Amino acid sequence: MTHVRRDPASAASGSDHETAPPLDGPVSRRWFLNRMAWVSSAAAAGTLFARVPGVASPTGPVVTEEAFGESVRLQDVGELTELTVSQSMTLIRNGTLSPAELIEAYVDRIDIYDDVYQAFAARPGRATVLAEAERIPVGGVDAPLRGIALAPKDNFYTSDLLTEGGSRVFEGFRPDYDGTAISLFRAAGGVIVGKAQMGNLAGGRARRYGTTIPTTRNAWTPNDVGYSPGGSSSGTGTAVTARLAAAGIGTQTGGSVLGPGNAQGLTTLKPTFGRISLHGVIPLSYTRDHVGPMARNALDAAILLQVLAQPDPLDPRTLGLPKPPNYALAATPFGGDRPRVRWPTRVGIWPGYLSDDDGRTAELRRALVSELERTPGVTIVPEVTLPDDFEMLSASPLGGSHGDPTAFFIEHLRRDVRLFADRLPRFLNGMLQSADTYVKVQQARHLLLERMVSQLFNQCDVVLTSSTGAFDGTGLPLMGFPIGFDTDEDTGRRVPRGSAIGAGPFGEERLLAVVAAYQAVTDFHRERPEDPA
Amino acid sequence: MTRLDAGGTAELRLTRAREDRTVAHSLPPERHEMQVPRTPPSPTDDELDRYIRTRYALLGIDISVLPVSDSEAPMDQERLLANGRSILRDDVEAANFEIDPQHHLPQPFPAPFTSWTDEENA
Repeated sequence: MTHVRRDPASAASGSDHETAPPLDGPVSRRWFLNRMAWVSSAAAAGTLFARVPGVASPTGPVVTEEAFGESVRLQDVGELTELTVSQSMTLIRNGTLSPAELIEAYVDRIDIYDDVYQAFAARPGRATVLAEAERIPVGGVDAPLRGIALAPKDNFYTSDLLTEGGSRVFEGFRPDYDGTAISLFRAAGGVIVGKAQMGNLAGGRARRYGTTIPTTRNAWTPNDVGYSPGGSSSGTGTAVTARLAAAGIGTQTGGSVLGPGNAQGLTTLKPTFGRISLHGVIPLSYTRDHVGPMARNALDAAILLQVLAQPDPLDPRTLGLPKPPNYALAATPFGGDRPRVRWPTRVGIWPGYLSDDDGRTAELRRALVSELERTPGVTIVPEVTLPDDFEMLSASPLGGSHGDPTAFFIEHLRRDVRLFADRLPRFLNGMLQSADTYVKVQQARHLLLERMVSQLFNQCDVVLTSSTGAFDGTGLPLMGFPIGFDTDEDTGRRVPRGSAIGAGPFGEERLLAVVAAYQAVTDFHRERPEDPA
Repeated sequence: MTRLDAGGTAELRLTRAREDRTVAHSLPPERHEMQVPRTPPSPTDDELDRYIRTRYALLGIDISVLPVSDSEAPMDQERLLANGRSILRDDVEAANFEIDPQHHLPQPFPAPFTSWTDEENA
């Protein structure tokens, strides 16, 4: 069932900061570590896999009132596609805008510009999309994403569109069901306006299948294919930035949501591992894959996460997690002209974050830290100390995902290795790695996770970082967000720059609160590129 | 032997096993005639290439359809084998690490696993 929840704790969201503590406080550290210890002992006792998996019924999307917080006048909006997800939801709910009108505006832009951007790998016909939008009822509260144009990466199963994973391996593949994330979007009234191009089997930027010829353009440099849109969720990044979709979802195994997001000025979120179901997603690594929202600001990312953060009986990795909190509330700044973060938060600085680049990026990062220092409720922790043996535990060979892709793709490898093009080594490597290594990689993951929690997030609540691999490997949450603009040396183009910020287990609220407070006093996330000539 | 202890706690121990394994000289006299274990010489690139090709062939995977060497192609045998050799040598690197199995069992998912505990929510 889909419904809108009015959270009593957040009834006065504009001024009330006496909300419940964020989930990373009371639950994560003690509970998470205890749980991990239990898992270890249960496995040692041989009882872990003897249990019958619990069944958690999906409760459907739960979107709180804060998600509808931002109100605008239609006459103040240049184009309907300029509206954020939150603004669109508000206008549709109060009847000012119809889902069909909004979807048509996106389809118009796609028809005009996607030949240049090449953001989409597959699209439903115009008439099909508009007919779907017409069928969405106006009013009511049971489908908060009514009329929201969404661009999922092309590795999400869709029963009505090809799902090719950016690769000749899946060329012509049309699943007979929707992946869980797609089902949740559609149940919430969202409209899939196309499947977004992606790097070959979730690696690198989008290219013509089986070749190294790039396709999708960065929305900031539509006439210059040489400047990368980022990968591997390239098409989603471009579609959302270029206003061909209001938001989208990508997948991240090693930077593939934050990368294209930061390359194009989006706000992105890779939640804690297991928070969003991976059922119906072409797999790369069953221990490192994450689904992540790609949006225009923190509130939109929170809304998508709220819709998608559901336990899924079809994906046991999503079961047994703490109940999803009110993400939209976390992403709602409050406190007047100089909004404060919703909870007092220690913001750590990763070693080298301010010094590993002596150019414009470092300048932008220093400006970001200065801005956060002035944010009420934020305490900056200069240069945190990394956990013991961090480099050894997070780098190859211990910090990898050995063997996973090989296991999933053996039949395709037998069919023809040329289908994998430049990504072939990644998919063959597992055959050369021993079970001994695989066991040690998993031991190292456990040890690194424990130390990230007990030795890093004891110093801070969130950390600004230029090193995201350890967060992918341990399943800890990350956000990406724009922090300014730079001039690309090769193309001479003005392009956005972003930063990553990470947190402990289930620390999404902290991340959203910090990014939302920053976005309340900056405009980088509101800037949009010019349309192609 | 190099030990990298975690903050002085004995139970969290990550050990990199020594690579220059030495012979045990304290064998009892009656066992002196036994052959002393020695570290075999490291395989050459050619030997590893044969191993890699054999491994793939055993699994029914044909890499001969790739060009032997063509930097313009998306992939060629030369790059593939170089990567394979690197992976095999990395595997040795991984084998040199010892992580305390009493306290850090292999962890397939970083998720909490309450689904296996009959707990609904924490």
